[in-house]
Order: sequence, then C-alpha cells, then structure tokens
Amino acid sequence: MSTRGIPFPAGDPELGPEQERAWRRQLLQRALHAVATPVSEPTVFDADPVQ
Amino acid sequence: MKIVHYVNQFFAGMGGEDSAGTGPELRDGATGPGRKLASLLGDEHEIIATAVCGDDYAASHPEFAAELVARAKERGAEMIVAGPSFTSGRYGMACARIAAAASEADLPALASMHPDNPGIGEAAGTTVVESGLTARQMKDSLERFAAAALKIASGEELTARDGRIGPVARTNRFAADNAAQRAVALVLTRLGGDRDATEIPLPDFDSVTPAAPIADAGEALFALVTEGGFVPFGNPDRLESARATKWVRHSLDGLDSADEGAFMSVHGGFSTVWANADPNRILPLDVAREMEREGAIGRLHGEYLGTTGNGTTVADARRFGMEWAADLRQQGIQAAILTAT
Repeated sequence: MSTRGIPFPAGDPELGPEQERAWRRQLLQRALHAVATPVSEPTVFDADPVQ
Repeated sequence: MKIVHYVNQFFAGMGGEDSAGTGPELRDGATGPGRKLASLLGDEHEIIATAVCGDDYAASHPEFAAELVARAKERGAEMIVAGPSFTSGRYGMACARIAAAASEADLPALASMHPDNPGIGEAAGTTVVESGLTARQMKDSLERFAAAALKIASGEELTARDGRIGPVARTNRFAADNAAQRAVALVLTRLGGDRDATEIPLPDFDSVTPAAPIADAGEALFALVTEGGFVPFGNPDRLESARATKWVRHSLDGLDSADEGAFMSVHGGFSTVWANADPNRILPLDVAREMEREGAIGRLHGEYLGTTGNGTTVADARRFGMEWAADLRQQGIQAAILTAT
C-alpha cells in the first residue's frame, strides 16, 4: 500500500494533528483489510477505501 | 573420516511445525536420511552423530550453529555435512549456517539444498551441493550429496560439474585470450542462441509465496515491524543508519504512543525531522493501540522488530526477513504491519 511520503509512511505532516491521526487510522484500517484478503502475487492495495 | 550430519526436527523424526522451536542437540549415530547417507559414504567413513535443531529455533538463534559445531568437534567430528534441505527456507538457512560455522572452525563442510533455497546466501563461501526441489527427490539428492562429501573428504574442490551451487569466492587466474577476444567470443555465443553465456553470473532473485489471509483481525495477534531506522531515543544498540547488518527489538508494553523524545529514526536515507517530531509517523503505535482497545485488532504484540532499510544487501535483508518471520511465528503472531520508508 503506497502512502504519502518516504519520511512518514504512517503520517502526513501537511495535515493538522487531528487530520493526520485520522489519516493514520485509515491506513491501519486498510492494512487490516489487506491482511484479511487472499493474494497470490505482489498486490498493491489502495490507501483510499474502494467506494 | 568421522562425520557429523545435521538435520532439522522434521527429518530427525521429532515432528513438524509443532516441534520447530526445539533447541540444538547431538544424538549418537545416523538418523533419518543420515542412515541412507551413511551407507552411500561406504565403510571408510562413519556418521558418528546427528546434530538436530528446530527450524524456528535455528532461524532466530544464529548462534545455534557454532554451538553444535563445537559439540560435534568435542565428539571427534572431522567433517560436517548438512541436509539435504531442498527448498525449505529455514532449514536451508540452518544448513548453510552449520556449514559456515564448521568452515570457521577449520572443519571440512558441505551443505545440500536446491538452488532456489534462500539459505544459499548464508553459506559464506563454504561448499553447497544441489539437491532436488522436495523430499520426493531424496534418493537422487542423497547420491549427489554423498558423492560430493566423498570428494571433499579426499581434499578435492567441488565444481559445478559435481553439482556445486551458490557463490564461489573469486580467484585470479590467467586466461588464454585477452578481454577483447573473450568479449567478441561471448557476443558470438549469444548470437548463436545461448542467451545465458556469461563470465559473471548475476544473482537470482527468488519469489515469495504470500501467507494465507487472517480470518478475523479482531481475533488476531498483530506485530508492528519497520525498516524505518526506528529506535529508542539515543539509539542504545547503535543500529546503523545505512547498510544495516542487524535488527533490533524493543518493548512496547505499557506505551500508548511512540512519543517524541522516546523514539527516533536513525535512517540515513531521508530527513528524519518529521519522524523525530512524531515517531508514530514511522511506527503507528498510537492508532494501533486505539484500535486494539476498540477490538478492531485482537491484540498488539508486546514489542516491535526494526532495522534500517537503506542500501541493505539482499543477503542481509533476506536473513532479517527470515529471522523476523521465525521469531514472530514462535510468538504466535498472526499478522505483521511493516511500515517501509
């Protein structure tokens, strides 16, 4: 899952503190979705949930 | 010659994954595939003992190899052979480590594995002979293994014709033709259809089979791991900022967040200003704890594993990965979230 920058894989300093924490939470929720999804080869997950 | 043979817990008949955490031990005589190997080696050689260790233990305690080699030497071992380990990664790594530790202790040594086994990277210049893909090729693999062992026992060097695989230390020698002549000859060979002809074989990169998905994150034990150079403030282990040769583990018990001043990043490949101002940006501990409290994550492992991924060699990175995987499996972890920089 690609995020927003090499120096902050689980953050985004451009956001305010509360928004950044919400972004981090979204990333982790997507990570939980990813580890519960069967894959058979290198697979890129979108950090933004599919609508 | 008196030989000690290394096998893992499975081939020693102790059990499968349930016994993978078993520590190192030395048993009298040949065991499992060692019996057939002993008969192939003939009357001039004897397998005096079998060295055994569980795969998970071997992967997460590299010092098991030196310990077993020392004990084998005390028993009078004059040579150590390990395997065949086929494509089993942890077993292959253990065999390579045993062979490397034996060489280090000035004993002739030989390991056997398939060329795709990641353990090849750990052999550190000792001799590895090719085995089949799986234990279904045990018979052929043991025959080649025994032939190679006999050659080494007689003091000869193994070559590719004997099934030698893995890195071989480069040595200088005189070639009959100069570089320009050899380059033209190589081009002609390639034009002639041999696409693999080379004087310098390049490393192969293996592929990894993905793990099965977890059934329910709310029931699972999660670990946070990272290659972002994430360390306790002050870097007590002196983790390298580039070309790391090691990894570290530190407790997260009782911590609700990776706070500024408690953790930092020593990564040398990017500005660590943002990471140091809020280390949760590298290891998302604050949110992971929150989700653990809410039940979205079953439980968070009590420590993180970390290294610096910056100019790291493939061999070191592969070793770290296998050591982490073995360590996490031993602790019953079902999923890991790896933040990468």
